[in-house]
Amino acid sequence: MKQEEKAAQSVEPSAKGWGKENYPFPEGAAYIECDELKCVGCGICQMACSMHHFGVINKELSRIQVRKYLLPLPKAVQVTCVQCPPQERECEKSCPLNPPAVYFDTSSLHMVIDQERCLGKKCLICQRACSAKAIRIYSSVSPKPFVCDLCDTDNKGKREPQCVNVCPYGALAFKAVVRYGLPLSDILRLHADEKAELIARRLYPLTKEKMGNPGW
Amino acid sequence: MSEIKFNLLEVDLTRETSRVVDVTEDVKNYLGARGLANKLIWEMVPQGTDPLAPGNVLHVGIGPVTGLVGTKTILSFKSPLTGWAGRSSVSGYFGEEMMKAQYNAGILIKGRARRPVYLYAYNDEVKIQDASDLWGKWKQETEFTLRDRLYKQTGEMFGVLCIGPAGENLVRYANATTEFVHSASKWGCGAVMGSKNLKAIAVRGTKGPLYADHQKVWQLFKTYATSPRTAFRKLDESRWGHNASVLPLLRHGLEGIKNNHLSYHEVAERSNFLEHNLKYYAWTDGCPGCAASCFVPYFKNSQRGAFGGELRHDNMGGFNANIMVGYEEMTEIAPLEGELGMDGEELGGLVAWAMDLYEHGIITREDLDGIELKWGDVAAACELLKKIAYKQGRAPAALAEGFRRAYQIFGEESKWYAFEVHGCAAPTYDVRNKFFGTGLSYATSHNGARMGAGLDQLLREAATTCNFAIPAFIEIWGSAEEVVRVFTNAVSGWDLTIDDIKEITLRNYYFNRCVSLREGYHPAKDDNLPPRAFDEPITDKYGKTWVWDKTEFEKEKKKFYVEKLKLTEAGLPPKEGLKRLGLDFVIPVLEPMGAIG
Repeated sequence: MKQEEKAAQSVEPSAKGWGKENYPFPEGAAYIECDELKCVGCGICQMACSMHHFGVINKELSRIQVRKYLLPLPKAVQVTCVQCPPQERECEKSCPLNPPAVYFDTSSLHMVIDQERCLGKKCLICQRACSAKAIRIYSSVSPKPFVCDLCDTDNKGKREPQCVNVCPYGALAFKAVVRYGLPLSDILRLHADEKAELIARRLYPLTKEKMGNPGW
Repeated sequence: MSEIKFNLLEVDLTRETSRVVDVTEDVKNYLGARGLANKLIWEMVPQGTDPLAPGNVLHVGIGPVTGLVGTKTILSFKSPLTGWAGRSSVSGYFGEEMMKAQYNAGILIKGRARRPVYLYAYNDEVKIQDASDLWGKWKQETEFTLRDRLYKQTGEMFGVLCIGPAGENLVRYANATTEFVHSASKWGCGAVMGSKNLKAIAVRGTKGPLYADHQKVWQLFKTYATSPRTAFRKLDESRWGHNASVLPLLRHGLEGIKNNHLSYHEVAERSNFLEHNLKYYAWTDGCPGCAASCFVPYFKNSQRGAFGGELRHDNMGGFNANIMVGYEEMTEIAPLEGELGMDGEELGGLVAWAMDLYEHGIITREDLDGIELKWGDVAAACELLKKIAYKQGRAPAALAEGFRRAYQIFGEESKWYAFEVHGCAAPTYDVRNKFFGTGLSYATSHNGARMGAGLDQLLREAATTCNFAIPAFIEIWGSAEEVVRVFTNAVSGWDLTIDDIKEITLRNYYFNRCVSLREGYHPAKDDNLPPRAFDEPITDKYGKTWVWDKTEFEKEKKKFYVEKLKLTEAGLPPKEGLKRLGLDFVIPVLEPMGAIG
């Protein structure tokens, strides 16, 4: 047998994921939770996201963001929409339209941006209202913004977040918004810069300007 | 399937111009990075050019699979340390930014800027910016200041590759760094950047990578990303990073102890990675697209100050037991070496040599500008590092030039103490030890003594695969050639066969050797080991003794040329092979030099 054929045979069919896809499906409203300290910054979640939504590998078109900081040690920080409970949903509250073009669809159980009604680039009040900046706009694709729809792009109620399945470090989990009987997810709604600032405190008094020179 | 174009961004610092060149045909012949760079250097750098003159070029290269099989950026240039073909390789997301800006054949830098500058490339917007306020700054501050400034200006996070004071001061083995812990270290790319007055390169791309078939690429990549083999690999890499690689080498006589003089010594046990991990582990970090994640930075808060960084074989090997210290001390030396910006392996070999010379009275405290350079003294070693970077004092300034130039200052008697091959420090993977075969691979390398000289590496570094990411891919697809083939085809839309890949590998290897041959390398005069490899045996922890016998070495070398490197017995590329691979244009240049087999 030729080496080429042998090699082709040795390729295994890809698994669906690392095992998270076999976990019990969360009940009711659910969101993607990032475990910042586990994230290594590979960005495979972003590749899965852009592939699922736009059919291309382009991390810039991903709804989940992974940013690399120097704290001063290099550290990747993830951010995505946490599907806030109704009382805390700042994006929905800020939308100038009535009913809002960005809203939580109670039948499909995730955030939706009505691409037809949304005012798009000239407005973006919702993006500013979200402290995590989880609402993304990609000028090269559309003048209208996008938000994490838990990979239920057709809004049929079939949630299946691809990023959670491919994350090799278990830094992403698909969890119920309600915990201990009460909604909680919005507390995780933080901008990557702010998360990075908090992680940097673990390294105090190491500064961003000096890595390892105590002066002798 | 449509084919993609390969774009090279060509920047002329002298004229302050830039343009994008289509190099698709060349990439078909040589792949990217180190393969493509051979051609660029051969054509653009006239024979005999001083590596630190404006005539040298720096190719910051990526290749077809950057960001898929690990993320590597390969810098190619004429080396200021050896004068031959040089290359440095660096991880981190810098390479991915070039890919996303669609400079998928890299950036070529020519000429010399009149004042300190940095290169700014934000998608199609390319500017040469003033860097006089960054000049003189250490690396961490340089990178942080520049990233912060660009973030405020554009709202985007740039990938920054920068040099430290050693690069500015043209230390011949100065390196360039991104994300502080990822360094392009070998053979002096930092000095080349410094000679061009180029403090940093900042790149940001938002266009996304150019792929001929995204669906196919994702299918292949997902196979890797979700394979149990990948999962198994990552367990090791992500826990220890490369902290764990040193101790076994020390125990088995593969790593220098006391300037490579000693056989096994208990100081080796102080390179204890478990202790290091439990005390100082910060978190695990990795490169884009890689599930191995082999960067495990540490943070240490002590009464002497706070230290952070990463211990890898490449920044400790050479120091460590070679200067009679362990990991505890290395946590303080390694970040300083990174801040100043020098290749740890070269520097470690030189510092150990200097300690040896000091002990034997060949250099004095006066030569060292007042440093009492005793074995195992961390403060003295750090002081010496700083003096080397700024070339202060007679001995440090000589050490900044590398072994071969330092002999002229320190005299003949210093030579025996030097453990170098081709003028490059060889403290790691001891050349006497035959386990990894470095005796032969270092001695026959046309780049200088370092890992990464063989045929295989010329394929990996042309396609830009990472050596620590690729094992999982090889387990899935069978061989490195096959991995490169399937991914390159999916990315570029070509239909390369395994034979094509093998041919490209050999072509790149011959061509790289030809560049060195043209610049004065010749196996007959250069391919040798230091005297101590023949007259100073070492014994490992388990009682095995290693040393070379002259006749055996010559015999093995010939065999190595022919069998492993596909060269003639004299170590030269065969004329027929060059013709067959389309490299006949090198023959008229090299034949009169006696450099063709």
